[in-house]
This record gives sequence, structure tokens and C-alpha cells, in this order.
Amino acid sequence: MEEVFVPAVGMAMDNVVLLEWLKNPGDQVNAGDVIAIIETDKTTMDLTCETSGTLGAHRYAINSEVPAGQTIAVVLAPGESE
Amino acid sequence: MSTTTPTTQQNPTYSEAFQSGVREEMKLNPNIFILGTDLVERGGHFAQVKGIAQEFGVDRVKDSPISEAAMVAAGLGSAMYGCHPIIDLNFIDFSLGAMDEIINQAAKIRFMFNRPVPLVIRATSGVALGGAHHCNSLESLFAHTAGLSVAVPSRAYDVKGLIKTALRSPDPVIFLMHKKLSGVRGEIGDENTFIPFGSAHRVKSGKDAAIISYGYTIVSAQKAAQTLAEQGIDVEIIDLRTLYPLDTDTINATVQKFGRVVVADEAPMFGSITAEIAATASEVNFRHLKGPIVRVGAARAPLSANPQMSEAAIPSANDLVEAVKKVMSY
Amino acid sequence: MTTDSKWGKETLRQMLLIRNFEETADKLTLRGKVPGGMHNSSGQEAVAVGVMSALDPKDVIATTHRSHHHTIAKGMPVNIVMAELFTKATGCSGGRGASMHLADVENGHFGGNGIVGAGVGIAMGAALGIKQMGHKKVAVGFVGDGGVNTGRTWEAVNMAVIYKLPLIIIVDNNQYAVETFVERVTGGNDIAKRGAGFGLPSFTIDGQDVEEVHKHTSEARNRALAGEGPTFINALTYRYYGHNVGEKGQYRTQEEIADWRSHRDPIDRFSAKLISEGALTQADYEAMIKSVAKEIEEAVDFAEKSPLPDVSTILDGVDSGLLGARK
Repeated sequence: MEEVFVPAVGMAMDNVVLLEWLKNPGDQVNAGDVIAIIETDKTTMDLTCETSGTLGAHRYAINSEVPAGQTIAVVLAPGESE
Repeated sequence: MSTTTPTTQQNPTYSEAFQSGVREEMKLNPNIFILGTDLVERGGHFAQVKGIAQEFGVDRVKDSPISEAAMVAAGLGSAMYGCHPIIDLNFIDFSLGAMDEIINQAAKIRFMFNRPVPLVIRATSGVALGGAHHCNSLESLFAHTAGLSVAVPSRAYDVKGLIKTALRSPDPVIFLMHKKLSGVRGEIGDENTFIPFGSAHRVKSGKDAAIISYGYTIVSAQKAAQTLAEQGIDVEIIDLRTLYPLDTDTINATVQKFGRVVVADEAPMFGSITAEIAATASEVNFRHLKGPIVRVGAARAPLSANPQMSEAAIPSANDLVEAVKKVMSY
Repeated sequence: MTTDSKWGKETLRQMLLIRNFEETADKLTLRGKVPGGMHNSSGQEAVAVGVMSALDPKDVIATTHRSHHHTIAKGMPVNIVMAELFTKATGCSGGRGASMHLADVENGHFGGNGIVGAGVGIAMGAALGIKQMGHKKVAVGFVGDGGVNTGRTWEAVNMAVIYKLPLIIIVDNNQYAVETFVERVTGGNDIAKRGAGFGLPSFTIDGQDVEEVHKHTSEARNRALAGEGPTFINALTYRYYGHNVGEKGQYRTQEEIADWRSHRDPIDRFSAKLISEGALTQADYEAMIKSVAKEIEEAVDFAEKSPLPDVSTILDGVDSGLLGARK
């Protein structure tokens, strides 16, 4: 199971907003796919997955604030469940 | 407030008082050394260490290249290692080339790493001839920095007593000696006379109002007091001696006693230590005040090489007279 | 030259420990566990371990913003380092320093530093202290390739030369000052030559070869202890990650990073050598990797479970209070 999360980077903890989901729960995803787009105080950023599998539940709604470091969804390998 | 009275009858200069204190402490503590420019032969630009190299050897009085960052780093690292160095920066203006080593490093080591930094940074300060690059008054900046203590003696007795205390302290001390006081003679204490930091000295008691100050402005305050006495105003003069720690007890007692107070120095008034003193004293003692504390300071301008321009930028004894008259008018 | 098996294994394990620490801490930083981020030293292990293995434990070091590898190689337990990264009360600086301000002054670690080039000056001062007090020790000042272009570094080198101080200056030269390639900003493009200009033995060495780093440091230490003064060593190395965690940047190619990783990795090179010489079996090596991973896991656990510093202590230790400052 891979956790797709909002990375904590830099010296200021930005307010991160989840702008858009590009993959839905149950979708097959491939390594490198963009799962979601987030917006920080400075820029927008793609969140990609590193493994292939099935996307789990969306843990945050569009336009909600996500704390840095938090998982927004998981990528499940065959046979895995959340 | 300290009420110590001088115990010896010698009359060395302000610079010789420094030598005396340093010599006594160097004899007792083999880990004290002095590092700076032109110290061995010349004895420092103000004769502040004259003869010490000849007495203690060049391992303990080290001539340095003109490398302020390295000088303070040498002091800092060796102090962390266990020495008690005196880094002589010559003029405090030159500390700006080592400001990182002072403010980012020396001041913060104990807080971050729980390690004492027994370091004295000595420099000549204050306004005299020399112009814009030799007359900066930076004491507020150091007093503002957590981790640093700041000594600003105005007479030989305090130079000796304060440097001896600094050389027994485990903390970094900025030791500022005023150019115009270098040759002024006065009594000094003996080898057991230590002046505590944070203890002001009452230079003169008075009945009507008080001037709180430090450094060379104490001399101007004394002149002002004479003029005021002729006009029937009896002014008290408090010499702070150190700006951090600050003797807030004496400051508060003085404000409460008179309700009419002038705070003066020769640093640019904007953002200076006089603002800190006036603000804190007002907050604590507001109901004792007969009117606002009046501050006297320098113009917010670089100092000129031209003596008349330079003098015009800093407070005169007459400016202090006027300030006292103002607080007397409340 | 054949490597002593015991020394080789210890050295290799140290490098593995640093690599695992850095890669683990990097991930935890992205998860928000390390306030302020961290500077990953993966790829630079041989410089730290090569230098430190040539020192006495009581020798002094002062270093840079990228100092986890120096700190672990100096002997600080990884749980204490990790706890400091997490800014926990159990960290070496009580949570006051985090990644950039690791220190253990009592044991000769005079601190990482947030200011470029500051470590060389502090180490020079420590070397002066060593000399003043007549001790038989050396001090090592680390600086990066960025720090060789700041004035204070050279003031300190010059002072070490004129006072013949027992100092070793190590340029932990990973070739990028944040995102600026060293050659773009270094006049003359020969850092060791600059050192030589100050009149001290000055070398450029392969910083990916732990034995070469060890050898040069040992020789420098011997000269310093013999009263011959400082040595300047420019150790060429490479960092695999960005300047700070999460930074990728377009300033270097993925091919360049892959090339250093696959052809010049200090751990791969040294483990292959030990195995080929029979000093280490493949099974030993795998066991070593596992034991290192366990140690780091325990360090993370320790850091996680450690208490945060007590906020009521924020004024403690600013000064001794002996001058009356706490009044």
C-alpha cells in the first residue's frame, strides 16, 4: 500500500488546499500518474503516485485544507484493502 | 544600586585601569589571553594593554591580522573549548565585520548547546573625531541581543571593577570603552573590587530631577548639573555602567523619587537604549511621573569628520540643561 | 592496499547507518516530522566517516548546515540525532536546534551551523584553545563548496596558518551551493590552490573513497600534533538529494545523479572492495544492512515517543544569570 500525501517542505508550513482530484476511488492508477492537484501559498503542485494499483477512498474533499504530511489517499496493490 | 566607594588612592587613567584589572585576572587565570591588532608592541590603540605582552608573553597577548570575523571566531571557539579570551576589536565599528560571529554564534551557543562562552569583546566606542566609520554607537544593538551583556564604564574605577567581573563571567560580554575617556584619571579599586553588572552608580545626588545616562554623557551631565545648580536646580545623576543587565531597580526608584527624569546618551535617539529605558520606566511608574520622561540623544545621521558638525549631531551639556528644565516645568 | 577487516567493517557500517538515517529522516521530514526541514547528506558518507575514523573521539569538530553525517560519524547515537531533528526534549540540543544545530560540545562536537562558512572559524578557535591549553588534540572545520566563497572562511584559514594551529579544514565539496554549480561561482576553479595560497599543505582528494579520506586526515592530524600547523583538504563528493528536503530543481540532470550513484557510490565501492578482499562476506553485509535498519527504526521510535521541550523553559540558558541578567 502506498500512501499519497501532501509533502511538508520548506521552512514555512503552508496552508495547503486540495484543488482537484484527477483519479477516483476504484480507478486503476499507474506509477507516475497525477492523483490530485494541491495549492500552497506559493504555487500549485501535482501529487503523483509511485506505484501502480487501485486508488482507495478520497480522504479530503475538494477545496478542503490539508495539513502538511497528511495522506490524501492510498494506492492498493492487488488483494489489499484500506 | 552599588554604594561601593573607591578604596585606593592611586590615580591611573581609564586605559590603565583596564590594564590593571586584566593583569590581576591574568595572573590568577592562565586561560585568559588577549587577541587583537597592534597589541604586543603598541599596547593597543588606546594603550589599554600596554606592557601586558612584555609581562605575560606573546602566547597570552596575540597580535592578530585585521580579520574581525576570524578574531571573534577565535575567541568564540577557544571560549567554548575552555579559555577566557579577550578579543580586542579596536573600534566597535569594526565589530560589524564579525557581527555574525557575535550575534548568531557567541550570543546563542549557551541557549542552543548548553555551553558557556566566557568571552570578552573589548572595543573603543563613542563619538569623538574620526567620522562616520569610527563613531558608531552600537550598544543598543548588543543590549537588544539575548545572550550578550554590555558594559559601558564612564570612569577608571568602573573600568577595572567591571572588566574583573567580566573575566569571572561565563557569558559573552561586550566591553565598550569611550574614546574621550581613555586618558581620564581616577581612583581604582584593589584586586578584590568587583563591580556587579546591572548595578548603577549614583554619580551625584540631587533634590529636583534626575539624569540617567552612561559613558561620556556622564561627563556632560556633570557639566549640566553645575550650570543647573547656578540656577537653583539640584539634579541627580545616575550612571548605568552596564546596559544589559540593566539596573531597573535603581531606574524605578529614581523615577519614583523625582517624577522628573531625563534619559540621555549620544547614540542616535531613534530606536536607542534610551527608548527602552523611558518606555519601561513609564509603564512601571506612570503614576509617579509628573510628565513624560525626556530623552536626549543624537541625530539619526552618520557622524561627520568635521568637528563642529559632529558636535552638533550629539547632545551637549546645554542640551541636557534644557531637557532638565523641561522636566522641571511639569 | 588491503583493508583491515575490523576497521573496514566498522567503517562500512557507519556509512550504512548514515545512509539509512538520511533516507529515513528525509521521508519523515516530508511527513512533517522535522520542523524546518533538513539537509540530506546521502552520497557524502565517505567524507564524514573517513575524517572521523582518523580522529580521536575527543578531537573537536565544527561543521555546517548539512551535518547529520558528521554528527553520526563523530559518535552521537542516532536516536539522539533523530530526536533533535524532531525537536524533542531528548535531542542533543534539547529540541532548540533541530537538523541544522546538532552539537555535543562536551564531546567535541562544536555544532552544525546555519551560517555558511562559520564552522571553520569556530574550529579554528577551538584549535587555538587546544594550543593555548597545551592539549594534544586537533580540531576539524567543515565547510561546503559554497562556503569557500565567503570571506570568513579564509580569515580563519589564514589565522590558523600564522598561529600554526592544530586545525584540519575539510571542504565537504558536494559541488552545489544550494543549486549553483561550484565552477560557476569559484574564481580560478581550484579550491585546493586557494588553500595553498595561504601557505599550508592543501589537497584535492576523492571524497567517495573512504580510505583516501581517512589517509589524508590521519596525515593531517599527525602534522597538526607535531606542531606543523593546519592542513586544507578539498574532498570531492556528491549529494543525491536536493539542498533541502523535497527540492528537486532543474539545475542538474537525472543522468548526472544516476551516474554518481551507480559508478561512484562510496558505500557500494567500499563494500565491493571488502567483499573482493575476503574481509566481508555477502551474508555479513546483508546482516549489517538489517542491523542498521533496526537501529534506525528504534531511533525513530525513540524520537516519536520522546517528550516535547517544556515551553516554560524558553528563557532558560540564555545566559548564566551570574551577571544578574535574570533579575
